Amino acid sequence: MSTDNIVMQTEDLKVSFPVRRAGHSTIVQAVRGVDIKLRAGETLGLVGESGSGKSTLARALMRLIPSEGTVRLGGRDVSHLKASAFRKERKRIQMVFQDPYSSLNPSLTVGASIAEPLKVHTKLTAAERAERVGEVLTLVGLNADYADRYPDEFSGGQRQRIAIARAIVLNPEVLVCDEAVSALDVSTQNQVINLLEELRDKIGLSYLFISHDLAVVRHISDYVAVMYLGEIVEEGPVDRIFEAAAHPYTQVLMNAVPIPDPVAQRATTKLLLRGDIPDPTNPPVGCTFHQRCPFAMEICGQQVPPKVEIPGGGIAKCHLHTSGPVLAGRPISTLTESPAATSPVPVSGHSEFSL
Amino acid sequence: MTNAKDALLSVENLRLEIDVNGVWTPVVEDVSFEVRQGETLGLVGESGSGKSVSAMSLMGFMGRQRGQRVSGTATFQGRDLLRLNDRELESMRGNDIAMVFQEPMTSLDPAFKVGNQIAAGIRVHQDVTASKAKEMAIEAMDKVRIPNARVRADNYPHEFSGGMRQRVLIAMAIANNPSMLIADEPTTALDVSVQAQILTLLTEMKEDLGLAMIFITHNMGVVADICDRLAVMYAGQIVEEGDVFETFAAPQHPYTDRLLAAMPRITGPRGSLEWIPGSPPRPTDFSAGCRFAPRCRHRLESCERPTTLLEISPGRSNRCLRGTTWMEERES
Amino acid sequence: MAGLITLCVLALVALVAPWITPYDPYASDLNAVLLPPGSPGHVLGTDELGRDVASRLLVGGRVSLIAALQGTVIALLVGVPLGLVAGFFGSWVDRIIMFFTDALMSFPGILLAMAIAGILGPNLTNAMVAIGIVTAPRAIRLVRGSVLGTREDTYIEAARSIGTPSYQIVVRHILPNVLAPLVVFSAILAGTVMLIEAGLSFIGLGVQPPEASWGAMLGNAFNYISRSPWLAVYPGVCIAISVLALNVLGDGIRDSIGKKVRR
Repeated sequence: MSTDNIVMQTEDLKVSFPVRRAGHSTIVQAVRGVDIKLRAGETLGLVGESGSGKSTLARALMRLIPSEGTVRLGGRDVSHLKASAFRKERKRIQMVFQDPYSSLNPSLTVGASIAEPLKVHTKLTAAERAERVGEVLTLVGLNADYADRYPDEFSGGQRQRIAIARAIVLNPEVLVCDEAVSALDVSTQNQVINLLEELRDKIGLSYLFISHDLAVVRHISDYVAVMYLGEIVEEGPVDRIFEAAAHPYTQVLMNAVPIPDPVAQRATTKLLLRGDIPDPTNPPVGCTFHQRCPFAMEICGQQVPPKVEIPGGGIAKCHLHTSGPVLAGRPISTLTESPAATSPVPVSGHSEFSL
Repeated sequence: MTNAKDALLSVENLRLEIDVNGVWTPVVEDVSFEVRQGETLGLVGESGSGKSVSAMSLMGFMGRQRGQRVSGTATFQGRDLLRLNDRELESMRGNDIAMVFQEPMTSLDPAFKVGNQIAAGIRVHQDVTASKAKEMAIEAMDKVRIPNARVRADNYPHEFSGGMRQRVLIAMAIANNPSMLIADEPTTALDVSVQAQILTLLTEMKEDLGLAMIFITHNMGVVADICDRLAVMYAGQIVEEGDVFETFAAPQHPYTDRLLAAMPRITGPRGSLEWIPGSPPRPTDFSAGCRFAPRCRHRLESCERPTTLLEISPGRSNRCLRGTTWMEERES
Repeated sequence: MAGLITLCVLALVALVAPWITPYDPYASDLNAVLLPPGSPGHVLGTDELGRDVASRLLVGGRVSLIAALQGTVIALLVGVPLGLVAGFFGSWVDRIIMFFTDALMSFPGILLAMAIAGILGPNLTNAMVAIGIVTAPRAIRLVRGSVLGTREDTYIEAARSIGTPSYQIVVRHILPNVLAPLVVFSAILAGTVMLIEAGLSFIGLGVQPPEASWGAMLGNAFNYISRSPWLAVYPGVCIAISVLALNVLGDGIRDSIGKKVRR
């Protein structure tokens, strides 16, 4: 599954913004120290809801916003490169955006949009560029003569293919897909995902696939990382995550996805979160998730949880594996399926599942 | 169980036409369905299927403007919604039938406190004093499980998260004890964990208040969770209608079948994803025959004949001209 | 369309003006002073110095049109780059540029033009510089607004993620979207410039005698308005028609471009 060829890596990546709240300035830590590793030919799925920081992380990787910490591309530390030096590195990592209707300049032809990376990074002649544009259009399943048309002549799914063509024209190693299929109908979405998988095998790409849609992520990813309030709370190989989630938040997310089968869906006990996502300018003490967690214990509000290695692969940041009913790497589902056997020590008011 | 309840809303042959360059083009047609007391009907389809437009027509938001016309009947508590005048419609909206939309941020006025907005909605339909209305507003916020309702009634919309705003809208909707709620993609813009909370809330409201609901969505998972019956729409028509358990177990129309097959799941084998070739026709290209035929893998020449929604058993209808013979051709 | 045709006619006439004047526009004939229109040999009459009005109208038109062009070009040369820079880079650059823009705009246009022209010295070129400076703020605001509107579009972010340098982003992505409203604006601006030039020449700060421009002719005619009212009518009508044509042209361009830029 994984070769040891790491094409992209972050170490303790942090992103913060100044923000005005109630009349005074403060800082929001949108990404708090994230480590991710992307291996050649692999797809890393990054899952999270709003406020998780996943899109911010993507933008920081693409240097669209400043960040702290280390970013390595192909083993090389690029974090301290100046903008002009980093420009060369951009050939290796490209991005596909969420909205197919605004990510292409409406006044440029499709061919011109796709050729832009070539103009910026290569010295190819116009004829050579046109040839390459035709090549990638065919690769993404579109007719090469579409190059002379304008984006408004195409549907959402086709535009997204054009955006993908633009992203692969330089033959990058890594493609960051930021909710690249979220704006599409299910059928179109599936076609684009199939295309992405095909391309990955055909031209050797690695993907960082960011999405809030767990089912889609499950499909395309080899390895999954779950984000909450700027940190990765759990990560692991895709099958292990979906069969034996080791963090309560992951379990809650999966439980929340409605199954298109009324018998199964209505038989599932709902694991609901309490309250709202916390204010990122003032995150909770200890585990950032503890105020909403169905299994929270006293220690969760006091200490930051340790990273625990989970059998089957990956890690989870949760006290349940080291204190209370010590799960020691067992899945959270062992708690939900037999609450009597391993009920967590209740903190007053925190023990029932509630809205 | 269904015989004891009368239909609260009975829609027959709803047809909405839009004037496109001088030609009256039907956007939605031959739409008929019933909603019984306490029942939740799911109106399912992809974008452009006509599901939202149908609901909008019922409430008078479409069909009454210049360049639009609506025909058919929509009988609610003995009156035809499509024939009410503006004043009668207004007194019905928010009162007997309430609506909840997709975007909570744009449905609330950012300049006014949330409690006041709910109270205002109450005072339009009920003759109560301002302070009584405020109390009723807080009660409604309690019912939708907004913590600290009394305090939060004095907050502005931007002080609430997306999920909380949606609860506020639901509070506004139920404040006047409507008999029916029309929810148009109420959870589509919300995070999945928030969606789960809202769906649970709506299910409870349904049971506690005996609310009937029309739930419009494109997500079959949501339908499986909250709906009692569903009507699947494609290209402006209902292609299949029936009880939710029966329909999911054995879809009668190829489109429903493909829609279910295409949904990526979080359990089961991770096979390759299914998709439907082509795209839905535009209203100007609607054909008289089966509109799904160009994309259907079971199509025959006979599918060009005009279609009707045929009742195949009580409460179950199918528009497919091949009835159930197409099922023999499926791989599984 | 009508605007375009009218303008083309005017431009053509202006171009060949010096060669088609029936009389030397500068030659005075004191025997033929203030002849009314329809006089033999002078279709439109003569002015106070006996010069043929028709001839002066032709050369004056040339001057006025060229002046309008000059003024507009200067306004654009100043306004467009500043607007682009202010809109694209934002922060303190934007604040400084907008400070000066707003300051300029707070003065009544014609007075400011008068002041600048007065300082620079009364001649046509200086007047055009003055008008260019005075109308530049409008161009700056227009361009800046366009840039701000486009700057947040995702395709700009995509261009940055590709690694496109800023100047290329401005030229390739932002400028085309700015160009459309700018063309419309320029047409209308030219009309305004023409009016201001007429005003300045009217009071003697623009074109100097014996040069003719429609505004100057109007100014002159003012002195004789009780005796020979027609002297004022011709240049006035010419100015009105030109400005109208420019405005109509601007509207026409806006309507046709509007269809292309809309998604």
